Amino acid sequence: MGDFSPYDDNGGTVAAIAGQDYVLIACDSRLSTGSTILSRFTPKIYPLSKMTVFACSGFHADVLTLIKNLEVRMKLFIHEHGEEMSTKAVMALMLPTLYGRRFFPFYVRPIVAGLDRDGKGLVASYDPVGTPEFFDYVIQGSGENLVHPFLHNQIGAKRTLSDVPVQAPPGLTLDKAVKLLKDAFLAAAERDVYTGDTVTLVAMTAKGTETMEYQLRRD
Amino acid sequence: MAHRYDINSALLRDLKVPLDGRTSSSHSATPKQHSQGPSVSGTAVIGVAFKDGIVLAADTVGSYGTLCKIRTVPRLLKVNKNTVLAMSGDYADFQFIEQHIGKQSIRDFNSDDGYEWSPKSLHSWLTRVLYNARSKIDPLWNSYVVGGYETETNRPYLGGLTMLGISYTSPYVATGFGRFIAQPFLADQVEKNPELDEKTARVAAIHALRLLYYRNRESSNKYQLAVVTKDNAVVEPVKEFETAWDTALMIRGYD
Amino acid sequence: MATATFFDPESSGFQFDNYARNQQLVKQGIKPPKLMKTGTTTTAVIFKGGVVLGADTRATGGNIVMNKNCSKIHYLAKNMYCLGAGTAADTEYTTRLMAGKLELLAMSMRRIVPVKSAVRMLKQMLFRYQGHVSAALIVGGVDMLGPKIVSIAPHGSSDNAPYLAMGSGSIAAMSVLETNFRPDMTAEEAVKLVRDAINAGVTNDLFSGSNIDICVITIDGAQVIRPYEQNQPEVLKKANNYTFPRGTTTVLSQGVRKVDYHIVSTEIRKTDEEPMET
Repeated sequence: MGDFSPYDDNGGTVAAIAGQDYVLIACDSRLSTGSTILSRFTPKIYPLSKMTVFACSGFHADVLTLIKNLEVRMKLFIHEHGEEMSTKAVMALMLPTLYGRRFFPFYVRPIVAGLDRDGKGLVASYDPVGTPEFFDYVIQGSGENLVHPFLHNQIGAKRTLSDVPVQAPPGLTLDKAVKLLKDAFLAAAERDVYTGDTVTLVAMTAKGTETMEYQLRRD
Repeated sequence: MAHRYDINSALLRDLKVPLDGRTSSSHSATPKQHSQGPSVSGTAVIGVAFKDGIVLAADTVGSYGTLCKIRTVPRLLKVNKNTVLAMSGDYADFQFIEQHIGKQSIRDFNSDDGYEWSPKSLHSWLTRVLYNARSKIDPLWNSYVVGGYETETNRPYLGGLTMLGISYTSPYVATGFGRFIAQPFLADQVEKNPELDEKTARVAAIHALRLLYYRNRESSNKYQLAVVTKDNAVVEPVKEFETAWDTALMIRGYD
Repeated sequence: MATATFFDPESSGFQFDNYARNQQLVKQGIKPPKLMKTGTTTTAVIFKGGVVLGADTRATGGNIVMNKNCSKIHYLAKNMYCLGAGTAADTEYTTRLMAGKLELLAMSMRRIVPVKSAVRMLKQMLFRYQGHVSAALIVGGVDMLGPKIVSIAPHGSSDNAPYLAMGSGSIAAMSVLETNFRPDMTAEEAVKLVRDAINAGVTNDLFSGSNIDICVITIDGAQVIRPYEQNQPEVLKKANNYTFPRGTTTVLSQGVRKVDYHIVSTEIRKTDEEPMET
């Protein structure tokens, strides 16, 4: 006693790939604290609008609060402008939302993923105080260090000095991306104790959204 | 341990506090200290979902450190006919929450618009209250299990909540030490039989408390159950469960 | 005493030469290297005529699984095995040291060493190091006094009971033991109970996982079953094949160089001398 900490780490991994005509977001469903599991049924993907989803690992109480803040802002936007916020606008909204807590940060590792108005995939990741990064593929959370090199190798083709990186959008079909991210989460669950139970994959195209679920290690 | 309570300065301060306020903004020579741990507290509570309802269970001890200060204290709160709340952690903080729930229930009744607490709305509201308290570094030292029947979806609802505001749902929930010893047992019961009936769920809940009693010095074998189904929520009277200590007779010495 | 060298036959036990230096380094903010921990579930039960020991096989360093199939059932003597939880090196070294001492003791006594002797030696050693040797052990075996299991905590306290669990998953395992243990079980029932207890640790404790190893000891001897159960469901197979085609790695430069070496030949011959009497 006497050492109250307002933070906890609830683990988990989230990832996303932006394609030419799709965006694919993945997360596991394990919520843990310390050495125990709080819930095996808590996926870390949160739909924000028809075009945009949010995925986040870290301190779950902050994640829930952040989501609530974003939902309010997006609802206000609809009332003000008569239309949903675009994915790019949500991505822009993240910086002030997170940076507003610069000196008592949300302990979160968020990803915003969605489609732009032409149906092209967009992905952005942030650090806990809001620095945005825009790549074709991103991964955040406890399995990040394990899976990042894998995606660099498979999508970024960062294998040798002479290889020309294959850009994700033209080279990678949605079908291939699904297999790749599924395998990435299988691998993360093998070696990261905070990742496991189920992997949820959400594929968004102009036609609609499809959700897939696969079993992961439960130990 | 909690800091020593200065009754004189507290009385003076209380004069300026709004009735529903918990903390004061009055100036004082020494900086205001927040509680750094629970005082009288309840240990683990558990919850299990069965196919058409929820069982919540808790023992009835109010501990003061390692002292069993109060032997019979209710830790299950019936909020309405759809919703029951099970508490663990600081009992004063729970009573503070209880007052707020009571007041809101009266307001809901008076407005007579058909709206009242549902398990989901109570869970969501409690999450905000605990999160806001932790964000002021003045936490409410409780974790909760919210159980009930969600009339909107027509399904049982079972959720957990920690003092930091981490909330989640699961077909089996336990707080505190229960996460270590009761949750593995409940998980096994639910996974073996996803369509639990009420009787099996009750037996499982009582056995989970028995496991806690065997291995947790704060627990006792006096307990309460709450069962929520579509029609009603019942918090049952205090009972005692059977225990067996015969394997203790097999132990001689320590090596 | 002269300055300690790398190998000093005069000294025994641990060397503390760099202790003060390392404390200073830590104070300067240098992080000590991470040790491999067997955040573990180990369980032992007594049945009619013997003991069953069980352990998971996960070893972790921080949040990373460092070994998916490490062995936590350590040999002590022909009639005695030891389950280890804690820092991997401590459990490994402590049990090996003890296995050696027990062998010597058995030879000098010319009989089977009783389990309680091993327990005394282990707890006295651990007590001497005041918990700095972080080995949480369960010793199990059968001797002239019958089957016996004893747990030893890192500080040297011991506990004997008909069923025991140790490690970070011990409480999860205990939930199964408290529910299903009965005195005088058959070997099969005891193995099933230990499996279920370890499985509770494997599924509920994040730092326990992978396979389940089991050891059954009776008066007729010990049998280690490793793995007793593997935890790799068919659904967890990868969707893609990740073997790289030959030539994936670019060759930057090539060259052939002569390496100078000397040939030292050794000849082994049978001697006529009689073997030395012991």
